[in-house]
Order: sequence, then structure tokens, then C-alpha cells
Amino acid sequence: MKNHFLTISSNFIAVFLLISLIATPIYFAHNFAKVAGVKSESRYLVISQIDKFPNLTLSQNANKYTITFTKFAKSQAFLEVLIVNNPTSQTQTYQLESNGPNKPFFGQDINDQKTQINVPAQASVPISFISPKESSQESQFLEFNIQ
Amino acid sequence: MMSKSIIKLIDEALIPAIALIVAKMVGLFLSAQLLHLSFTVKNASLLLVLPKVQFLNIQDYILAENYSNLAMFATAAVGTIFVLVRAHFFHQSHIHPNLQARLASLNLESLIASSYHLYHQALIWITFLWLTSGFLAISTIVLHITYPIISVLAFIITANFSWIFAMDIEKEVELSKTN
Repeated sequence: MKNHFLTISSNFIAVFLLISLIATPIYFAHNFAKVAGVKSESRYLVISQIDKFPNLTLSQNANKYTITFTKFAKSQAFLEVLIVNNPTSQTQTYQLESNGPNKPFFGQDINDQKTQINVPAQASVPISFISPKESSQESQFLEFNIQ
Repeated sequence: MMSKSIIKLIDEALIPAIALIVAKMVGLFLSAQLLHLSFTVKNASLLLVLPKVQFLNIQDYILAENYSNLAMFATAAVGTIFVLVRAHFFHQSHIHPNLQARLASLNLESLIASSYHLYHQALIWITFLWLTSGFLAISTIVLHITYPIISVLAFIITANFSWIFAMDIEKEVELSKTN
């Protein structure tokens, strides 16, 4: 019984060794040479357009974005305040999550306020937001994150 | 008790594995040197002992990668040719008597090999040849690094060598039937 176990385990190790020996040159050939460069692990890049809006300020804390602004009308929309770019080589799905009455959305169509969007590789999509009339204070803020 | 065939295969796989790794390294360093490509070397970065090379731009990388892959495939092909020639002309089971007599007179009888030795050796070299061809095909089709002409040539050479090896096995089977 002990002898059988020894035979099975030694043969198993031998086969494993043989497969490793055969696979090593191919693994080496695949990984030996690379191109230098920083690998981007970010799913998206955010480009600010805030400077085009005189009453808006943007702050960021990790994945949380805060926009403070002054309201001039009861209901007001701010279009293309940020641009989200997909730097990866695959299509990515982004989702906007926010609290409060002011709502961000993808695109610039106030009649189609998408909070989730599929962005193809290397493509960009604008982020706009709307401040509804229910939110009546002059000084406002919008807090959201991108998933 | 370990299987004799597996031990023989491990024994036969050692030299081809080292030869392919060396060919890849030499091919890459030589092409980088001759074509004046910029690169940096990181020691002991692969499998704890092997170095890793980083090129500064993608064009240099593709050029060096193609030449090194070609060197690797050429090494596998030369190894396979050596075994096939041995299997065809210096095979103990069907060596021509005149050739055997001549080898004996030149004290080169060590060139004559048994089926057991030749088939284990051929199996390893053919496996490496197919794996290298597969690697080149993936590198061409999926990664778009290796030039298609290299992959096509590799496939044609590998298929032909496999066919020559199969013919030798057929001959061996026929001989064993007649005996």
C-alpha cells in the first residue's frame, strides 16, 4: 500500500516536472521582453471643464466629487462640467451615484438624464447636472461619485 | 517506481528547454545590439533567476521580439532536423548496412540510435516545435506582435517535420510486422 502511494506520487511529480520543463521556454519567451511604461489601472479619467463656469468650484476626495455653485434661476442646468474618458482597451460601464436634490447625469440632454452609460475604449462622455426648482437656496452643492 | 518513459522524457527535455531559452535571449540581445535598440535589463526578474528586458518604445520591442522569436523557432527546428536525420539515416532498426560499416570504420557508431532513444528525443523536439509555432501564432493573431510571415513559415515547417517523423514511425511499424 505504501509502495503504491509512493509510485503514484513520484510519477505525479515526474509528470509535473516534465510539463514544467516543457512550459518554461514558452513562458520565458512570452515574458522576457516588455515595453517600459506605467500601466494604468484606472477605469476612467476625469477632465474638468469647471473653469468655463465662473460660479462653480470642484473638489475631489478619493472617488467623491463635490461641485459647489451659485444658483441664478429656480431650475438650472449645467452642461458638460466634466468629461469622463475611458483610457482602457475595453468598453466600460460607468454609473453616477449622488445624494441630495441636485442630480448629475451623463451626456447633455436634460430630457434623457442617464446615470449609467457604456463608454467604448478610448472614448469620452460629458457629465452635466441639473439643479431643480425644489432646491431653492442660492448657494448649492452637488456630491457624487463615479462607479 | 517511476515510469522509465517519463524519466527519459525529462532527461531529453532538459537540453531543448535550455537551448530555447538561450536562443531567445541571444536572439534578443543580438538584434538589439545590431539594430541599435535601446533597452534596460532587470536581473532575476523571471522565475527568480532569469533576466527581463524592457524596451523604451513599442517599435523597438516588436523588432527585437520578432528576431528573438525567429531565433527560438530556428533552434527548435535545427534540433528537430538533427533528430529526424538520425531517425531516418542512423536508426538502429533500419540503418543501411554499408553506412553502418562505414560508421564502424570511422569509429562513429555512437551516432546510431535505438528507437527507444530516438522516439523520446523526437517527441520532445516535435512538442517544442509545435509549442513554439503555437506561441508564434498567438503572438501574431491575438497580440499582433510577430509578423504573419514568420508564423506561417513556422507552421509549414512544423507540419512537414511532423509528417517526416510520422513516416519514420510508419516504417518502424512495418518493420516490426515483418519481423
